[in-house]
Amino acid sequence: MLKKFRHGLVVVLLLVVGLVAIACSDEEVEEATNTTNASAAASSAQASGAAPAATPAAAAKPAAPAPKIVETSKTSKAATGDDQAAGLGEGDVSWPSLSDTMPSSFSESPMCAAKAAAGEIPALEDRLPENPLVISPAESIGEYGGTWYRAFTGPADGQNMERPMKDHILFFGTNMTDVQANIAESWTSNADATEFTLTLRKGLKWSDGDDYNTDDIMFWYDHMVTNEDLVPTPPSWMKSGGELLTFSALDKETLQINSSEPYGLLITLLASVVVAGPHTRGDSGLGLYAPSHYLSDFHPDVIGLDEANAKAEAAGYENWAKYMLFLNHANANPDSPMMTAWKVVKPITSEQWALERNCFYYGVDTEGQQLPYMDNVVLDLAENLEVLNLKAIAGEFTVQGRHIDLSKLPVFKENSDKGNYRIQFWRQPESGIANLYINESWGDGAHGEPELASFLTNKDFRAALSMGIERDEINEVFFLGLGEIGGLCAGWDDPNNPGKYIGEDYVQFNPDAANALLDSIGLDKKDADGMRLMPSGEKIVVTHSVAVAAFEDYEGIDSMVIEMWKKHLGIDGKLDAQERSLWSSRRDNNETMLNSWESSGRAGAIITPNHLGVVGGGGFIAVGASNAHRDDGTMADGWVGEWQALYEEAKSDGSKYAPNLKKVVELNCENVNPITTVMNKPTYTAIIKKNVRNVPNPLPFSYHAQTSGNGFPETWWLDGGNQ
Amino acid sequence: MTLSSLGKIFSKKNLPVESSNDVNSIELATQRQLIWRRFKRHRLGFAASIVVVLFYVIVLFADFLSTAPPVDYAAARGYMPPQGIQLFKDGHFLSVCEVSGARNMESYLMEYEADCDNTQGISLFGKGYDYKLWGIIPTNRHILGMKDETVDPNAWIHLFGTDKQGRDVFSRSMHATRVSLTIGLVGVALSIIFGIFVGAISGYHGGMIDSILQRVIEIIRSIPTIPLYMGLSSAFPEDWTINQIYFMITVIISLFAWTDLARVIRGKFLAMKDEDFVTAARLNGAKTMRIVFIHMLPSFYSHIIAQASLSLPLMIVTETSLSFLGLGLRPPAVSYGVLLKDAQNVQSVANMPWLFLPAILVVLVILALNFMGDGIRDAADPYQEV
Repeated sequence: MLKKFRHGLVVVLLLVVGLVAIACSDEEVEEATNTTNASAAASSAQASGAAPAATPAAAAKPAAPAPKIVETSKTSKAATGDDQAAGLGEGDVSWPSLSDTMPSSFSESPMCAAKAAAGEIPALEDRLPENPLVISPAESIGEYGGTWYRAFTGPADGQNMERPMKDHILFFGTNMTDVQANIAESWTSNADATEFTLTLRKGLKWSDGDDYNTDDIMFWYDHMVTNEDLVPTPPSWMKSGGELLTFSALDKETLQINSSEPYGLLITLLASVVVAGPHTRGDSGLGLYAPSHYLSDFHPDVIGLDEANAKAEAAGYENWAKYMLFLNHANANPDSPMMTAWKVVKPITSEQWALERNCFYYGVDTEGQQLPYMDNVVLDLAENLEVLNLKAIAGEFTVQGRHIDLSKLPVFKENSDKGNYRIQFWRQPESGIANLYINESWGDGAHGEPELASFLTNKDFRAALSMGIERDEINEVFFLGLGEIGGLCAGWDDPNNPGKYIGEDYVQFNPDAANALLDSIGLDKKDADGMRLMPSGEKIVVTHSVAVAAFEDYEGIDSMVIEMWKKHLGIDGKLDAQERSLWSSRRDNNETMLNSWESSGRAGAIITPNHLGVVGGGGFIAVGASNAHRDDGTMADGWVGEWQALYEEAKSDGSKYAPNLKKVVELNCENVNPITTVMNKPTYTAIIKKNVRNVPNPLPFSYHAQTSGNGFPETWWLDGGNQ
Repeated sequence: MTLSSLGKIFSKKNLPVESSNDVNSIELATQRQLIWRRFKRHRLGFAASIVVVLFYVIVLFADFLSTAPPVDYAAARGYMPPQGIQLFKDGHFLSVCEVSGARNMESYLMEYEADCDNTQGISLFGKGYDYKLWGIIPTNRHILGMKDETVDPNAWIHLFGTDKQGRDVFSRSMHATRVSLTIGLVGVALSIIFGIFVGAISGYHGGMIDSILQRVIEIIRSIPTIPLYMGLSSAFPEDWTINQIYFMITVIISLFAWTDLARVIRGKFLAMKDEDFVTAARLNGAKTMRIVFIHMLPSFYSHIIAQASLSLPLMIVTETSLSFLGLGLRPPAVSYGVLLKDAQNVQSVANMPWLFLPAILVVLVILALNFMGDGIRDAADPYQEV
């Protein structure tokens, strides 16, 4: 008998192997997409004057004064009442902040002290800059030691440690709004935002002990980002008025950046992931600076082309440029010097990705102890997300929010005492989780049909669809009731309808109003099954295109929405689930009718218009119009055109940035595109060992401020060591 | 017919011969009767065949056996554990307790409480949701229906519990059985056609044609199937309906399953083509087609049936694994693979074990089909002791 089951067994085995291969997360791809759009948006913002930083908190209260980003050297920030009102915190808020008071003396970890005693590294005073970054931890001054255990999903999961280690020249406070000092201790800009001066800390050191100064930035500017072999096209944030920004070093600590046009957003961008540092962007030759002392030994400008290529070939690379990108990719090349709190010792390409403390890190706590507190970071490879989550349930991680599955929350809760961890939600303000984006350009695409397309562009049709969704059901089923029911414009009073926000009526379940609307727009005929027919007599079928194995269970959510529309509205639907890259290429080609996807915080509508916008190509709402806008600047008709006009205006006139940001989002709400379902679920469900101290509570989430980086993980410590 | 059997007939006082009288006589039984008799004695195989029949009854009456539409969602009933049916309570023959549930915001689990002071009567052959039996007869009769048709949905019958969206796992299993088992049947039918056709040509002609066909079969068999299925199933046009995809998956599976059968049939033809009765037919001027289909094929029908019933489980497992991998059927279609894919996670193992009930059905039907195939093969083997 067993013989016959042999086939079955083989199939089961293959199945398991196949699953392991398939179940790899592709979160990174998403972030890469975001980046591209973010840089595109940055270029769009280049012409604006002293535009205020666009951040969720700012957008949540547009009336509040724009955060000051000029002439602040060290901002120290705890959560304010405003931040709490913006949904960034409630209850006992404990956030880290930067301190202006220089500690009277400095001390170091036993690990570094041992190395210094052995003569491997210089003494502490020779390793710290003259003016270290002083961080006041969220709760307490920590004790040294311990290992931060995590897991990653493979070589593409670099963001896993790039996020907590932020090597940006400037960085954000925990509220993701205020730009703060980091590697640079201060910055200024002139009145019309065309000249920026950054002052670096004096005496900074790379993780290999070599000096860090403006040479490293100028090396990057002169020999990397402007070298076409290395970086074929400079990132769009580098361009202003069609010209490249000019970098010049005034001395070893002072860098001047000049822009031909006003570029008020530059400082915010420098702090954000759009620019970042070489740890995040070095593998594509970007990242504002580079270890010149290390890379110049391999650069043709220094050693000549033939020798550079010879070295590359000896190392097994096709040419010097490819070799250089590898050398500058610190996650994969542990020899690459870093500026972060920890440095890589085992590459991301191995089974275990390991980092240890950087004894040259420039940050200290308010008592002068050099940071970080934890000695090591060890990440285990877990290609399968179920395996990763099982490890989390077993309490194997010290702090991990990335890749943790919210739908397993009951299991996490159940095992939290056994695994000795607590659970914290890291939320992204005013973000949509599973929006239904109606592609209003579908009619012009390859699969477009004029009659059906005329309904997609009809606002009443979209409003009816929106009112046919039972959002509570979706929230309960898919998000354990942890999301919120509301629109993108929640919190913004509609002047024409006081007490309500624009689009509030459309996010309520109201089948009567929806059916009345559908009847009124020519969909009043029904077939034998009760499904609505278009005037031509053909059944109206809405096709939902979703990516499988993406962040959310879009397949499940959309099939539920299809059932709701069938049941309450008589609108038939079809689910078209595709592998993710196939789905996005078809979407960019304007072939899909309705796409399901998230939208990041509404404050990013102009900086990262790839979700809510209709500009710069691709997108969701009117892909054809968006592509035309990218290709030859064509403005569309109707509200889509209005969106584009407001966007262009904000781009050229900095003072219009904040008001137009609100206006474009209101256009989305008014025109019911996207149709939002559930909002603001926790982006990360963070699993934190009970004895980990100083993790900010709450920790607001964003991509641009690289959460958990905005929680200053170098100040996190283990009370009683690893348990 | 032997002389002795003729003698037996005449010894029965010249009464007209009734077939029923002959059943007991081995000498007079047809091959079919012999097989049937032997199969009945194969206890395991016979019991298994009853199970198989029951499964195909489910295939025919999936909607009738369901208690709720397979797509009927309700968050308030999410992850409800299986519910028992009570006998003889509160004047009802069958009844269920009313169940109410809410999410415990401490554990984030849905918690259900059965209120057995309030029971809801269930009637056999009661009324439920509307459907069309076999796509033709409109009805709303189900094997179990609520007595009170305006009943509170919280008191619905969930024999296998519910899934994440509050859909009834029992009803979904019934529909999954229909889909998965018909895929198996259609797939086997297709592969028998392919197999007989290619096997017959190959075995009967022999020579060059045989060599070429056998090499082709070897090449097909050497291709690893899972990557191939992955490639083929991603090649489906995106505007296909579930039904089209369903059909194509059957075809794809059978496109690779026929090779086994073709080999076996070729062997049979090779062995038989020089038999006297074939030569006689040929000398009588019978055409090739006639020789193959009228003279040769019937002599190993039983073998083909046995082979087919053994390849049926493989078909079902293949469909299940393809869907489980996300390459086969997708929601809103329900098949065993789709149901098991839903259960493939840590939280189901920890808190929702009833989501694995469809796996028991899979094991049951695969085992039953295997045992039945075994039984048929033994019964059809002419060289075995009678």
